[in-house]
Amino acid sequence: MKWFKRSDMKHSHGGAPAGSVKILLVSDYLSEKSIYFFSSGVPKEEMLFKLVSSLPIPDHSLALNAVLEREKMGGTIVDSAISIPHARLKGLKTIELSVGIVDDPAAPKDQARLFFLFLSPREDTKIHLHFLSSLSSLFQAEGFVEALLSLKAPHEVVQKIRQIEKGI
Amino acid sequence: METISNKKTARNVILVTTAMLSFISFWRAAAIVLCDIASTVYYIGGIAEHAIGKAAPWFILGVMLFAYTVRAIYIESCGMFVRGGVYRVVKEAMGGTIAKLSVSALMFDYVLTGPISAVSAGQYLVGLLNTTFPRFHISLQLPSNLFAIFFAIAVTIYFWWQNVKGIPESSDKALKIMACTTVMGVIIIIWSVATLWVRGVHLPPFAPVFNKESLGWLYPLKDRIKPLGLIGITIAFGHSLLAMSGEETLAQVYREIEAPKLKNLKRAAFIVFMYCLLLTALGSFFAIMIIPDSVRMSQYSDNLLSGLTMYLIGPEPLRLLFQAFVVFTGFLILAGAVNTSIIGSNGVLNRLGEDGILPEFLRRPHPRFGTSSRLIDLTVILQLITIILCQGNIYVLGEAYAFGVIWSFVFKALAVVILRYKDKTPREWKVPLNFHIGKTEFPFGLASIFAVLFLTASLNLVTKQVATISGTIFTVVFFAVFVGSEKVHMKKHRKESLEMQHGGHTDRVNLNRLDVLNPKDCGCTKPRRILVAVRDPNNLTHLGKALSEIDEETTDVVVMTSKVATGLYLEGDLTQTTKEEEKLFTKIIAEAEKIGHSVIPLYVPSNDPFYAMARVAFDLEAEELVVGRSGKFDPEIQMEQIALAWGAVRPMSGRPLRIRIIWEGAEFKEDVA
Repeated sequence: MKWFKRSDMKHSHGGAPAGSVKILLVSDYLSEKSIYFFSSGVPKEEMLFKLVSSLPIPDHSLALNAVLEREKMGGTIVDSAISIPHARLKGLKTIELSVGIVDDPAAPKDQARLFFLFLSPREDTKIHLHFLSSLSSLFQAEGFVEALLSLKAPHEVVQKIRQIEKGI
Repeated sequence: METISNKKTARNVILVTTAMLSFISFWRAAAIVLCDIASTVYYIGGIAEHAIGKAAPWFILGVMLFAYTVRAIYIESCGMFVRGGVYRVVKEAMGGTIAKLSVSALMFDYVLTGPISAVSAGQYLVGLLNTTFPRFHISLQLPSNLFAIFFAIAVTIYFWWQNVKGIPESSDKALKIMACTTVMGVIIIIWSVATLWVRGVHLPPFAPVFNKESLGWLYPLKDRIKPLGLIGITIAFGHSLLAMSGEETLAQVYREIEAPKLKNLKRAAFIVFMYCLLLTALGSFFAIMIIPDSVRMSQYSDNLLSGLTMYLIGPEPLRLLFQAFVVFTGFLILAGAVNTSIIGSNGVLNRLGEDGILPEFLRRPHPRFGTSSRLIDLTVILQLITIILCQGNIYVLGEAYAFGVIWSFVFKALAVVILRYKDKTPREWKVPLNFHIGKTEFPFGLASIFAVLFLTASLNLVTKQVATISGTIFTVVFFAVFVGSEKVHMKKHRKESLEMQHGGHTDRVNLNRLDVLNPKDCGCTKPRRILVAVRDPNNLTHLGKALSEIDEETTDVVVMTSKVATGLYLEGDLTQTTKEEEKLFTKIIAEAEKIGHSVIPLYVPSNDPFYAMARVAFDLEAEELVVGRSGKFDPEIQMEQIALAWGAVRPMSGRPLRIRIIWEGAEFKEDVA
């Protein structure tokens, strides 16, 4: 999927929604402890391992396997630079999110450099879909990818995402 | 002429003329093109040396430089027609008959791209195995050609099935393949330079050496042909020309390139040019300069890059390891080219089908996957026959292959020249070197490119016997099929028009074009609306269920079908309905009439079905999106894809959409914010 460039199309403004609903904020699930900066050349599996390991969940190995299994069925990619590895696990109470940023300015524009890995409760499809939708929505913000890739510290990442979501 | 009764039975379908496309960067576009064009590095060296001797690299270099000018023709035509492939451009310039002829030649190119790539991959693999076995004291030597045949058949069948299932073409995969090829290319260049540094540089001779095979019907005149005269150079050039096969892919990815389109197309073309120049041309030079003459053609003519790895400096295990990497990369890129050939030919055949010049039965969609499987079957059957007939011989394949490559370029170049006079609308970009005398423009650059192509193609006709005989037979047969089925189609069309006047089965579709989608212009008048997405006329369970549950007093039902086309399939005209789509709309309306509700049919061209559904649901302020179960995805993943798409189009403040996936006896329903 690559529908990031939506400015190229003509469309109506959609008008009033059928009913407003509170959307999930990505920043509400983000902790500075779960944000990592990777140097170039780190294999994807290694990054996923690190990201899963940072989450406060009981079985990291089970979670990693679930994420890798889901990736095998087709990666979730929104824009070429952003990958959303995810899985649904039994017994989780809520969404657990970690973010990986590949610090490699020389990397081709099309290589995934932002990883938003999240785990969601198997029993709650709604929150899982809402969160995917919220992530996708967040990525539509103008200059979001470039801004995030230029950051150097976890607290800046949280701050940037909050700032974008506050502008919502 | 449309009769009054036709008008009465015709159904109104709203066509959203602004295709709901998502776009790819020029890097991705270049990667897709390179997956086709750069794969020739694996076999061009051996084929060209077989024909013209050690001068081959010079001519491959010449072809690579000339390819940039051919790319300029594609850039000009893409600026004029978003779908600027051979068929469309030639048809516009010279009419349907010549267009059918040119597309027959192009089909020959596509049909041979698969076998030559697959057989070449097999030759590389068997070469590696036969080199490795003795190192492990295995006294087994596999028969190269037989192995290559079986391997090629297996690869072709694999991609046939992938295409029948409709696995989308992935620019991600193309990028990964090109990343791998780049690593291989950089290592080859550095290692070869180091080897030449140690052993000394001995450039190959410039003069080609012809033999009976390479002169073909001109062989009796061999003493009169000067190797470095105009004829000699052109013949040698013609034998190296297939190094630039795959240019057509550039035109076919154009529609998907992100804005600014033409600038990005030029960038992609430049990347392709530099890449091929470095990889294909340099690779050929290194092979000639590094592999000893005594073994190069006798042992490595079909896997020249493997031979190169074995004669680089350094320890043997390291060289063997590198050969394995070269073979692995070759497998990826050559297999990619097999896939591209199936996709490309299917795209072109679909385009012809839309113009009614293919038999109706060939265009029927696959009952489960909805793909044009019969067209895919046709291409793959021809490819399998080619693999068996060639007996694993790359040279024979290469010789024949050049026919389709050069003649499709000739037609394309001629068409662009003619369009300079026929269509005077301002061009976004023109092939340079245009001179004016008074108000008349003389496209010197364009005409020169055409002249080179035409001269080369004409000489190829008399020197490449295999290509001329097989290519002519193939082209004539395909041309005859196209002409014949067009006549049948027109006859049938007239008959159907008459039948419709007397209450026929398929409703005519009137397309009411709409640039910007909104509820009012769509004809929505009720406070609530639901969107039902359909694709398969035999799977309308979800439509039936949705219709049976709604309150017609308060709810409009919009039924959309998305004409999805990505990558090479974008060659087709997305704003025309096909016979199958008309049948789909007929069935939709019949289903609605059976239940007793009216529906608003909507036809949306897009290259991403999930995005299109979400976009339409948003623009129409639909509360519910109802879809059938996907043949490709698990419902859970299908739901995720829609949720992601919804997130991409909905306002940030959030707006709920109920997504329902309905299939026989089951439903998966969820609200997404």
